[in-house]
Formats: sequence, structure tokens, C-alpha cells
Amino acid sequence: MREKLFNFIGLALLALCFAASLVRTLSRHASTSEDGQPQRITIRFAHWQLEDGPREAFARIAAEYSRLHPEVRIEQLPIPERVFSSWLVTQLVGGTAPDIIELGKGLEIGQLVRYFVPLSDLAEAPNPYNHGTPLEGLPLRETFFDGMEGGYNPLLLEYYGVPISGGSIRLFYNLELLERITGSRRLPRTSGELMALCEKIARHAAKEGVPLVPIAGSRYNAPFLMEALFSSQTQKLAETLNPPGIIDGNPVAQASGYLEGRWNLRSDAVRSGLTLMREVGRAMQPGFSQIMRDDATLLFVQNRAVMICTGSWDATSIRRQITFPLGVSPIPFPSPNDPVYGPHTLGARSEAGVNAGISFGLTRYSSHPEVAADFLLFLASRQANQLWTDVSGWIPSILTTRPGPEVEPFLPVLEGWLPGLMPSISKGFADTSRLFNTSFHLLVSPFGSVEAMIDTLEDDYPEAIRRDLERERLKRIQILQRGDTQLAALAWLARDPAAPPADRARLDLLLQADSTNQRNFYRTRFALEKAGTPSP
Amino acid sequence: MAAPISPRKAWHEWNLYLFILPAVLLIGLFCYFPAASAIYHSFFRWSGGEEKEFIGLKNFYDVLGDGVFWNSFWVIGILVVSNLFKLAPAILIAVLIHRLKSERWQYLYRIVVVLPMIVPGLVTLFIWKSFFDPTQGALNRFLDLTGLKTALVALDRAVGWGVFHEGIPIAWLGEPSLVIPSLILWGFPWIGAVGVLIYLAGLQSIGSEVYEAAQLDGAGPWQTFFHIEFPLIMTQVRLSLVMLIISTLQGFGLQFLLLGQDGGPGGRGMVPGLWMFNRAFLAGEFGYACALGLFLFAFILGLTWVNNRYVRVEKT
Amino acid sequence: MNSTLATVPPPPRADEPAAAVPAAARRPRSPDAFKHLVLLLLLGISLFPFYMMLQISLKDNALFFSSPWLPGAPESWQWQNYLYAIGLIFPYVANSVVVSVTATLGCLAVSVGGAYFFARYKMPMSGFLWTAFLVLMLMPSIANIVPLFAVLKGLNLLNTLWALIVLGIAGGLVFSIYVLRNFIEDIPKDLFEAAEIDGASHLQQIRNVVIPMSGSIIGTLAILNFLSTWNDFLMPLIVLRDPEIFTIGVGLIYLDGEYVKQWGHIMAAFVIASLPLIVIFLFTMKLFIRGLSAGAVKG
Repeated sequence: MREKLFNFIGLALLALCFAASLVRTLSRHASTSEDGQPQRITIRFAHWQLEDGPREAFARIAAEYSRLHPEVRIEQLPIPERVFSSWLVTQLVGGTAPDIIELGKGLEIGQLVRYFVPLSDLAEAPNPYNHGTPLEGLPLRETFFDGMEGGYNPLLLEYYGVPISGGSIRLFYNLELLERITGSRRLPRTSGELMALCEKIARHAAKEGVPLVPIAGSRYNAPFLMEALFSSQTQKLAETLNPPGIIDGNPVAQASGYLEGRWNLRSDAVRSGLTLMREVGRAMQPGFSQIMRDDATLLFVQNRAVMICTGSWDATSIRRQITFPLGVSPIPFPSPNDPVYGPHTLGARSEAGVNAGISFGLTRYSSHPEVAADFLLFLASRQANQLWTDVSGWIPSILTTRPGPEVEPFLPVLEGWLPGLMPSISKGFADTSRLFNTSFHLLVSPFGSVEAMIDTLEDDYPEAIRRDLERERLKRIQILQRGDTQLAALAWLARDPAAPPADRARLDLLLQADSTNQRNFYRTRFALEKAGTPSP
Repeated sequence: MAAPISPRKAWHEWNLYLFILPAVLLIGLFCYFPAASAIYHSFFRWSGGEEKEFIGLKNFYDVLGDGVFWNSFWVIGILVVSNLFKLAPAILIAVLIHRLKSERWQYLYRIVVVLPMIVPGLVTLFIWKSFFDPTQGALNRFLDLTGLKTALVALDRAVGWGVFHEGIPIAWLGEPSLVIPSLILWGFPWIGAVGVLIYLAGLQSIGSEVYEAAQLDGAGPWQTFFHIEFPLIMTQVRLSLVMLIISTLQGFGLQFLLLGQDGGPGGRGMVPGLWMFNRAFLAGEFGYACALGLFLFAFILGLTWVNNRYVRVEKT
Repeated sequence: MNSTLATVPPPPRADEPAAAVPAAARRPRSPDAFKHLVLLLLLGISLFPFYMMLQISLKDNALFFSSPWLPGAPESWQWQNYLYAIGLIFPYVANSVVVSVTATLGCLAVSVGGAYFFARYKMPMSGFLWTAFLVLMLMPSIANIVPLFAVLKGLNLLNTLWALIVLGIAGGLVFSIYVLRNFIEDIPKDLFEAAEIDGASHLQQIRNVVIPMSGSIIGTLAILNFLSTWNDFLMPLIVLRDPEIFTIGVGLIYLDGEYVKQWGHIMAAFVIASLPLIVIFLFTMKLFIRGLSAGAVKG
């Protein structure tokens, strides 16, 4: 009897639970259904910035927009970084994609073209939301500090995204610990001073017997510091490699330079760079290359590391967790007077070339494209961007906004020299990067060495570079082929003298784009041929 | 067996077909149709949308040359073998409970065994994931606390794995060579409640005369186990085995949650199912993923056929 | 050598599952104490994760880092972790309950009917259909995910809970029909014939004969189906877009993806995610055990 009662209670509880959930589900469905309420439009936008700051800022911006347009409701979809790419693909393919999506993760060129709306028209027109500000009347793209380059896709030669934030890499310091160990809050200004500081910290930790590391490293943020230092050593080398007239670090040029033998892993500059990387790696906690991003942050936040190198986008999260005063400085570069590392370097790197990020694109499947586009314009407006930096503590991207005092140390430092090379040439070079990453532990482990890593890499590097270059070539010719149809069609239309001038202008633009693409393609092919790879 | 029926009566009982209709519809639409669609689409380059391009057998050629795919079979092989061993604790527990003298204790233990099932598998998985965390995880803390960490480091130095180092937290899910051991270690001590209950039920059917006879022959506890208990629960064990193998072969949820969509560091945890998921929902190569799925299906089908053909246990 | 022939076996309890023979008559050699030790050890370890879950859920991060193994003093218990977790995860739990319960009920309804079809008479084509079903049991569903996604898209079911419900039903059908068919076949035919003579339609036969007789196995199947939809995260992950309709599986994945982990909150969320199951199990434990045992002997 008791058993029956028990069973009954259990099932009754379950039924209750079910009823409650059902009611909730149905009521939610009714309230967000757009069928019966044509006046309430929902625009959804998705991003993966789950750090502290952005979500609140977006919520404020959305609220502000709804205040201006009461018939529109903006819904934010924060998706964890880990599942973002697969989520994105399923949403795009399944046709359920939100109206606006943050670009930059998991998107192939083909998907970008197929699912997103080019924003060039938007970029050339003034932003109505900038009315009443100094930016009024300026074409949208000129209101960004990088000219909207961050939303520009160089392979497609179109604007696809609206970038709303800047970013920079900095070294964060625990000023309390710093003062306790060195007696002052002075931050290192050269890499030499940085290494000396690390040594001091290590000695202090050993003497006091406390678990303290100089720099908190992780798989995520160690590369920031290391790549910066490696590039410092290869600045002069980069100058010799870049084709005349191009001042940007060009992966293709770097790759072809390797295949031609103009540099290799044993070059002085490279070896020096790797040595510097190893030195700084030894200042991080053991096993750092297995540690995840948040674990390193935890280390820093809990007073177990004096420094951490990470981006401005982590500043708000870190600030909210720490109990000590925070110091911020750019990554110290070797001084040209440094006896060991000085000869290869030109000086600190300029951050002027860094583009804005957090770029939002408009999907083709939006059911309210005009409203979504309007919201994008609002996002890119001065007032929204001011809200953005005020609430999130991140760097703004629109000119004439006033970043707060907490954001000041993160603003890009414009003076400086050109960047050098990257040890794995480019993040887009899959094989080279993978090769480098799998041998990385040889570089930083206490039982490894620079020589060991070079030895391991040397044999497979040329082949990996070749494969990556080949893949690059394929990508570029696909871009060309894709553009051919459109070019042909427009050329045909434009033959008619009565054709609207807009068509003619568009054709010119596309022809220009096409020749740039062709040049890129042939350069890549040439690099391959010089290196002895026959092209089909 | 179902009662035989004459065709005339069958006509009369036509509305019986209505009972099977919903099942047929559902299974047809959601099981058979996708399977057929998978076969169809494996001949195309398809990215999931409306457009597809017929490329004949190219997908299959690519699969044959796909190193990651064939490598993943190694991983899954290791996992299957280890899962076989993981059956043992459940059997052990079932036998131990069965041999207890007191009925009340038996009942109590049965409840305790079922208790872990209360917590959904997903939650258990995430809890174990937190155990694997290098700095905060319970596993590393336990190893440090009990001194097992030092033992491991010493062992490592002797054998030369290069994985366990003094002072460096063990990255169970971050170190390539530790990925597979982590997948095996997960869920310790591997007692599946369902399994235990099924074995217990099987053991219950053993009559007391058998035990008495064994005792008269002077059989000790181990011999009793091997000669009496184990053979008699063989059917259940075999069923568990088959289900286990099939689900392990195609399963990738575990790997996805613990290691992420790329199979973890160095792709060491990549299993065939995960690779299929990866190709479809990350690289957007749906057609290729279908071809991969077909290969996997053929593989499992082949194994099942072998199992049915050669591994027969007489049903007494 | 301890002869226990002399001890009197305790009388079997009235509500115990029927044992073939009183326990004391089955006699292995080793003393019980040893068995208890091993059992307690192993079962203790298997319960360890849940102990950890419970005790961490009441700590904040600082306390957790400093004292990870033992629960904190009752004064320091952070009940607000649960408040936070409820806000976080309750919608997901609600959605999961709706999906799982509906799917389970649907699956049972359809499979009882289907199993009845197979078990009652050998209708023409039933052999073919049965083989078709069996093949499905062996077929890995792995290859289906991709086209399934396309099917759902074609039916316009993406990003709805209906998709999960329907998939939940379809997924559990084959196994349920398989098990149920064996059960129903064992029901004495005269019961059916008696009902038929009384003029009962098939539906009534099911209601009056099948269901009462297979109560326990239906209960077990219900629980197994519920569990499987509750634990599913793969299909929800790729089908659902809006956070409001996420189920537990997806919700937990998202929780796991946060950059700064508040372990107390997370563990509290886990506890809450397990609550509906705890409720079910506590009250239907016996049913489940009995059903499993009965089913196992058949298998």
C-alpha cells in the first residue's frame, strides 16, 4: 500500500512539474510569436564575447535602440566560443540564423558570400545616427579609426562587417606584489628589464617558499607575448623579404622567401627570436602550454602570478575579480642597445596597423533586413559606441568617442616600427601552424632547447610551407573564378550606352578588384614556381 | 510466438494495421528516410543547402585516403577493448551482492547501486570534466595528496613517457598522450547500474542445488564463480557486450563534451563519429560526412555479422 | 571453515522481490564482512562525484579553492548559489521536462500499439516489417544526423521543441517495440480470446489486458526513454537556436563554456538539473528494479 502511495506521489509530482513547464513553454511561445503582433519585430544578433563587459554593453545598446524604435525588440544570443563554429554552420545551413552574426570565427569565404549581405553600399553612405555629431555627413567607413578595414574582406573586396571595438595586447601587473618584491611600482620598459624582473620574482619565490610565478601563461596567451618578442627579432629580416611597396607583413612573401632560401630556421634572426621566446616561456609556470585561458587568469587573479599578458578584452573581467591595484603596459621590446637582442631589432612595434574587431555581419535570411541594417547602423553610431566603451570597458572603434580612464592604457600606441615575422608564418597556414604547435613543447620545456626544436622543424617545414602556399593559391583562383561570372554579366550589361552609370561604376570597381586578385594569385603561383613546385 | 492467422481472418482484422501505422510513419520518416538520404547524398558535394554537385565516387575515394578517419578507428578500437574490461566491475558487484547472506543488505545495496543513475549522465560527465581540470580538478589534487603524483613522476622517469613532471599539473585533457587514458579512466569505477541489476536478476535464477553441489565438490569462491555463475549470466553479458560495442563504435558525445569538436590536443581523441560531425558541421562538407557515415555503418554491420555468425552462446 | 548449514534462514519478507531460494542456503565460502568492505569501497567511489557536486554547490570560489574536499561549516553554506542557479537553469529544466515527458508518453503509446500488432497475430507483412525494425536496431544512427537535420529543416521543425519530441519518440520506438513484443507474446492467449469473445475491440484489449499485465516493463521502458531524452544534447545542440528553448544538455554545455567559472553556481545548477530525475527515481525505484529484473530474465 505504501508503495502504491509512493508511486502515486512521484507521478503526481512529475505531472505537476510537467504541467508547470508546459504552461511556461506555451506562454513563452505566445509572447514571442510574431504572428499576432505585427508591431513587435524581433532582431537577433549572435556573438561569442562571453567575457565580462560586452553582454551588458549590448543589452544597454539594445535597450537604447528599442527606446528609439519601440516596435523593435533586440535579442542578444551569446554563444560559447567552443561551440560557436558548429552552431554557426548549423544555423546558416538550417536557415534559422539570426539576423546579425559576429564575423571572424568558423566562416569560410564561400559561406560568407553565400549567407551574408555585402555592406559596401552601407559603408559609402553617411550614418543617419551620427546626426548632430561631428561625424555627421561622413561616409560610414570614414567614421571608424581604421576606415572600417576591420569589416573589409580583402579577398572578396567587399565590406561585410561593422567592427565596433578595438583591441590591443598588454602586460598586466599585480602592483601590490610588484611593490613588495621590487620596492617600487615601476614597470619594465625593455625586454631586458622584463627578464630581470622575472628573475627577481623567481628568486623571491624560491626564498620565501611561496608558489609564485613571474608570468601566468596559458595556451591562449603565451603566444601573444612570444610572437611579439619573436617579431621584434625579425623586423630587419622582414624588411628584406617584403616586396617593394608593400609594408604589411605578407605571409606569401615570407613563405616564398623561405622556399627560396632567403631565410630559414637557422638564420640568426630566427634563432635569436626563438631564444627570446624560450626565455620568456621559462618565466611562465610549468606546463603552461596545456593550461586554458581562464586558468591562467585565475592564477593572476589569485596572487599566484605577478604578470599576465593578454588582450584589452580581458581587462574588464580581470578588474572585476582582483583585489589589488592593476598596472598595464605595452609589451616591452628589446632596446636597440641590448647586447644580445638589440642588433636584430628596430624598436617597439607600432599598433597603428591593427584593425578594429568584433565585426557584425548581416545575414541574407533575415526576415527584416531593413530593420537589421538599421540596427547595424545604430551599433556603428557614435552614441552607441560611446555606450559600448563606457559599459564594457573595451576600446571603441568610432572616431571622436571618449574612452574612459580605465580604457586609456589600452588605446593603440601609434608610434613605432613595423612588425617582424611570425614564427609559424601565418595563422591561416594550417600545416605550418600545426607543425609549429606540435614541436612547441620542445622550445619551452626545461628538458628541451631551441636547437631541439629547430632540428625537429627543419625537415618538415619546407613541405608544410609548400602545401600551405598551394592551398593559398587554390583559394585565390577560386576567388577569381567566382568573380568571373559577375564580371561577365556586368560587362555585358554595361555595353549598352543607356545603362545606368551605377552599373558602370560597379563594373569598374569589380575590374579593379579582379586585377588585384589576379595579381595576388599570380604572385602566389610565382612563389610556388620559384620554389620548384610545378603548378597544374 | 504470435498466433498464426488465416488470410481471411487477417482481412477481417485489418484495423490492426492502424496500430503499427504511427510507428511505421515515424520510423520511416526519421530513421529510414535519413538513411536513404545519407546514401543518396554521399555521391554529392553538398553543404547542407539546396545546391549540390554530383561528384560520383569522389567522396568515397577521399574517405579511403582520409588519414584522420582511419586513425580514429585505432582510437575507437582501444576504447572498445577498454570498455570490455570495464564490464568487469559490474559483474563483480552483482556477484558480491548476490552472495550476501542477508536479504535486507541485498536490497539496500541494490538501491545504492541504482543511486548513481539518478544523476543524469550528462551531469556526471561534466563533473568528471571538472575532475580532469589541471589546477582545480579533484583528480590532480587527489594524486598530489596521496603521493601518487610522485610515484607517477618516478615511474615516468623510469619508463620514459615524458608526460608526468614534477611540479607541473597533469593536463589530463590537454596532453596528447593522456587523452586516451582520460577517456578510459572516465567514470571510475565503471559500475553501470543497469548492468548490475540485469546480472543480479540473472544470478537469481541459479538454484540452490547447484550451489550445494558445488560446495560438496569443494569448490572455492573463485571456482564457483567461473564454473557456475559466470556461464549462467553469459547471455546477459553477451547482450551487454553487443550493445556496448555498437554504442561505443558510433558514440562520440563523450569525446565531444570532454575534448571539443576537434578531438582534443593533437586530435588524439578523434573517433569516427566525431570526425563525421566535424566534417559536416564545421567544415560544412555534408556530402563527405554522409560518405564517412556509410563507411562506419558498413564497419559496424560487418562486426555484427561476425558476432552473430561466430560468437554464439547456447541458450540453455 | 564456517559451516552455515546450522543457521536458520530468515523468513523472506513480504515485499521483497521473489528470490529463488532463501539467501542463507546459497553459500559461498568467504565471510560477508569482506564482501561488505569491497562493496562499500566500490560503491562509495562511484558515489563520490555526487558527493563532490553537493558539497561544492554550497561553497563560493574562495572556499572551494582553499578546502576542496570537505564540506564547509553549515554557517558558510552559500544558499544563494542555488538562487542564482535556478535563475540560470530553470528554463532549461522546464524545457527538458516538457520534451522528455511528451516524448516518453508518445513513444510508449506508439510502441504499445506497434508491439501489439506484432504480438497478437502473424499478420501478412509483419515478418517483413519486423525484419525492417530489427535491421534498424543494428544500424548505427550515426549516419543519420546530417540528413536528419535536412529532414527537420524541410518540415520546418528546426529551432522548435517539437523536433526534439518527435526525434525522442522515433528514437526509442524500435527498442521499446522489441521488448514489448516479447512481453505481450507471453501473455496467455486465452485472456485475449476471452476479451474478444466479450466483444472488445483491439483498443480495449490493449487497455484491459496488455497494459495491466506489462505494467512493470512499461514503467521500465518509460524510465529508460525519459533518461535518454533527458541526457541527449547532440540533437538539441544543432537543432535549437533560441536560448529560451534550450534543454538541459545544451544549457550545461553553454554553462561550461563561460570563461570565468563560478564552481559553486555550476554545481548548484547540476544539482537542480538532476532534481526531476531524483523525484522520479525516489518514487518509482521499486518499479524500475522489478521491471529491469523481469525484463532481464527474458532477455
